[in-house]
Amino acid sequence: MKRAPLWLAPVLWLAGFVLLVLYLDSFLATGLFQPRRRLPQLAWEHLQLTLGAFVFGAIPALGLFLLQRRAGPGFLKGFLHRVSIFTETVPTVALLALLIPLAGYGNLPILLALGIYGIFPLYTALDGGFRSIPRQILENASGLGFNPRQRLWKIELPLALPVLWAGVRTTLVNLTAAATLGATVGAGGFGAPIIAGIRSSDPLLILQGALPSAFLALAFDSLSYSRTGPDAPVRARRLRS
Amino acid sequence: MIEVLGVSKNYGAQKALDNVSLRFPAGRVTILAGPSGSGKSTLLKILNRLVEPDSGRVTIDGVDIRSQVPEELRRSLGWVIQSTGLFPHFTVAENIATVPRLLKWPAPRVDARVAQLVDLVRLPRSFLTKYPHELSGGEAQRVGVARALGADPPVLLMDEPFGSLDPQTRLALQDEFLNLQAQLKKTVILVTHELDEALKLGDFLALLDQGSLLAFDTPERLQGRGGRIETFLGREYELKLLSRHHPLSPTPGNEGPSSRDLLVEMIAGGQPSVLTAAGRTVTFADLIPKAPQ
Repeated sequence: MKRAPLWLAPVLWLAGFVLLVLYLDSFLATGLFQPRRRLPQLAWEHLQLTLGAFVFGAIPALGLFLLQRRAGPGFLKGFLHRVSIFTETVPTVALLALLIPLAGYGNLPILLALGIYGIFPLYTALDGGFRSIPRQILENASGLGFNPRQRLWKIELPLALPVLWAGVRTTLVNLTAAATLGATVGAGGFGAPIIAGIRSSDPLLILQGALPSAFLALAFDSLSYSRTGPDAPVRARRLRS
Repeated sequence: MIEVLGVSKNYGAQKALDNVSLRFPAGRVTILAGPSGSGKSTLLKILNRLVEPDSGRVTIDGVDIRSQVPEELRRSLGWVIQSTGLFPHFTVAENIATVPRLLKWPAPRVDARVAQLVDLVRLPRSFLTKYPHELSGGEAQRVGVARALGADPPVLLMDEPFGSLDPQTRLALQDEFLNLQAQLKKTVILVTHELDEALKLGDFLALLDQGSLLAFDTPERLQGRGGRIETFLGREYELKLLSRHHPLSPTPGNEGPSSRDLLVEMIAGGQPSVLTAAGRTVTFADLIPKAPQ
């Protein structure tokens, strides 16, 4: 059986997303919310917020992970793990409110808050991905003569990728949804029609923001990187049974 | 020739190896045997610098192994462990090509070598594109051996290579290993905790106990030594030794049934002789190894 290419699902979801934005924009073009912007404009802002927040979260997550790898097991590792959990437990709305005096209104506070929100899942994905590799395989790689750099790129990273990738996808999905909160502090994105809809008790307006946001999240969730990689055995088994 | 000189290694307060010295004869199979925790795996890992000793040194052909970059040393020492050690994201061909690729051989040479090795371990060429999870334990272990032989290293280090296999597959692979070794004549250092395997595969036996070298000799010369050696080898050692003797094979080798197999047949048949399939009568006297070994 010939299977669909990897790019098909994300492309279809994305096409659905674009069509939905254009469609909703066509009959709700005179948005009731302030400042008045067209839906494609909001879609672009939302994408920027989500991806920007992802980068803001990925940098400290990678930093924490590298520190922990350098430190090895022990006190520091547990401490760093707790730091990453702490970033997850702070409610995003509260964080936003706290950030306003520091970062003002607009895109910066929401980027910072979402970035912090993204640290934990990304750190956990990195940590879990690398820890999922059996110790024997690592020792074998060294025993066969991989130097540490070759081992990282040719053995560890490809084997960590399934778990890592799942974490990246989940983070993108969560950030897409959480980015709608940006409207409460004056940032753009699909939050703007949702907040306006709540204020004016207009479910259509809420849907105008919520539906495209959900489609964007599903498009992110459909991203996959490989069918022959290390998760192929798992998939093959699943298909057979 | 590999020489270990006064090597000691501690893990915290625990002594893993205590002043061990021995020479591994070139072109022969030396078994590192001992109960778990005896230090046999540690000693194997010291040979390819996965573990650094606290004191003492290791030389290969007179050159201290610390004078070499660890990665380069390891590429010259074939490395086989239990079948779980294949890289799951590499195909069989990529697994076998590991060391040649690390040595940056040109692609045509790598391909030719991979094809040669897959023939040598008697796997069909169609296996080259499979992934490790598609292989049986025995097939995976053959790939493991082929991978270790990748760049034709003079030395093979093997840590319980047949440990995770079912008994039937294990016996078959042990036979294949002996046939392969008869062709290749590598210096093999093999860790096992099973005496039967040690006696079947080994030219020499190094017995380790609690980090020290109890004895190093041919299996035949280890009998009757008494003390801890005898405790380790067990009461049936003389009987087990008979499995190394093949009275029907024209040249020293492992062809045909062993004295032990024939003895079992005699006892089962209630006669001091047995008629083989080839029509030859073997008597009890034939079972006894004669030449001093």
